[in-house]
Amino acid sequence: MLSDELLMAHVAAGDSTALDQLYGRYARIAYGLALKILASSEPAEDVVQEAFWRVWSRAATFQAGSGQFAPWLFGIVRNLCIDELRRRNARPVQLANTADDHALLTIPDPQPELDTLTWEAERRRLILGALAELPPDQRQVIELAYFGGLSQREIADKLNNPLGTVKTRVRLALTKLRAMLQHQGIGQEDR
Amino acid sequence: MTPNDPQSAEQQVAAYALGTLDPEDRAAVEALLAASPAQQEELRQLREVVALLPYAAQPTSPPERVRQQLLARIAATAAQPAATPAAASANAPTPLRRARWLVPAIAAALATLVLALAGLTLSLTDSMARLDQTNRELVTTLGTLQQALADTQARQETLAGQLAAGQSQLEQVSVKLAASEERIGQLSAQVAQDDYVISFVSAPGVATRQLISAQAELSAQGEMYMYPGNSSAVVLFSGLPPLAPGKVYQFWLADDSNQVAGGTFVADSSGIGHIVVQAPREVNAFSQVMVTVEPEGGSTMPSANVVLEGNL
Repeated sequence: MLSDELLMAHVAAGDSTALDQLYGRYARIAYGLALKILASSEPAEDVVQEAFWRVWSRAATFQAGSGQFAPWLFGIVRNLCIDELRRRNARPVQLANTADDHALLTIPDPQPELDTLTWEAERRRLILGALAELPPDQRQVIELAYFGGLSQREIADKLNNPLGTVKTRVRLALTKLRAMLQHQGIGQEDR
Repeated sequence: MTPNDPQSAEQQVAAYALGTLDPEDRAAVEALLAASPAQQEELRQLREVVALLPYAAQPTSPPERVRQQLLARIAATAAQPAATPAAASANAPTPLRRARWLVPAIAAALATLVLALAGLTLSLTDSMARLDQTNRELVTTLGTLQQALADTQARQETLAGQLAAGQSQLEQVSVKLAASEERIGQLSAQVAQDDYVISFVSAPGVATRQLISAQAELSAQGEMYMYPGNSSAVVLFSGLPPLAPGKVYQFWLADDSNQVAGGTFVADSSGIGHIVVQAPREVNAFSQVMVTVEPEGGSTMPSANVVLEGNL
């Protein structure tokens, strides 16, 4: 299987089949992320299409490096979602919580291959497990920041917490996640 | 955070990686990162953690139409002259920044239409190629048929010529056959007449009268066979001179008051001839007979050129 970076080289050369392969690898994650942020399928579909369109049209600007494509793509997806949230001047109706996520884990998606599904589920279990290990207030700021698109100051306002407290929680949460995930040996390149 | 507080900025690298940094803190963090390789490494590691967060969301397959519209959009761009991904970035539509979701839908529909037209063009090109091949085959077949037709026409003309020649020969043969039949008829009539003459002159009770030359230099003579009370008679001639073209001998019967034409005849090359006379009444009612030279077809009155004459 060609690496993401090699496929991106083909995409930069105008090979749409390479983009289609990348779409096959990441569309499910990208759409799941957009759904979680936007909580609405139609704009999430548009975000996914637009994100991959930008991958196509901006392939020449991609900084090739091992394991760099997925963060780049997810950054595009998240930015598009945040733009949409701000444009519609609204926020997700409900931020996902751990219980919902575990409940969703039990719903199989019949479309991908079984091994893909199994690996997706396992990786997600590990990440959700790491998030669950965080103190609730730290997990909350991570979710509000990443999936809610809020800045630290907006989080502080929303939670009625001091800004410094929020900043500390963000820093502690991310460094703890790093430690736990490194301990579990999971990295984003473990696709 | 104060702008010149590196320690405070270090606390914000995680927020920078997470994308939750407030705008007013960005400059200080970026200044720190620009100056500190250690913080750059810190940022790289934290970004790896952030890059895993999307996997916490429930992976969900988007509807197939998303992929179709994406590929159609790409194909539509590729159909434009000198379109590359890099070039496309400059002029590509940005649906999210336009009026709601309507514009991307229209763009996708147009892209689909362009794809369809491109497919139709390919299909038409393929059809034209097949039609061209078929046309070439038909032209070849037509050439073969034309050659066959020309050969057939040439053969037909040959046969028509042969048929005309055959018909001409047939006509000639027919003419000859008709002439032969006519000749046969003439000969048959001649034979029948000869038979009649023979039977007439050899029958019992026949009377004969002599015709003698009316001109001293001629040795011609004739003998007339007749039956009393019968209107028929047979006259045999010999020594008759050859006639000029257009002339015939004519036999006459005469009494005291008039002459009755008794028919015309010719002699053969040896001067022998005969005539069967059918008189208007019994032959012995006439007193004289004679033979004159007359124009072909005979005359109503005898000429002065009398060859033979006799008394009954």
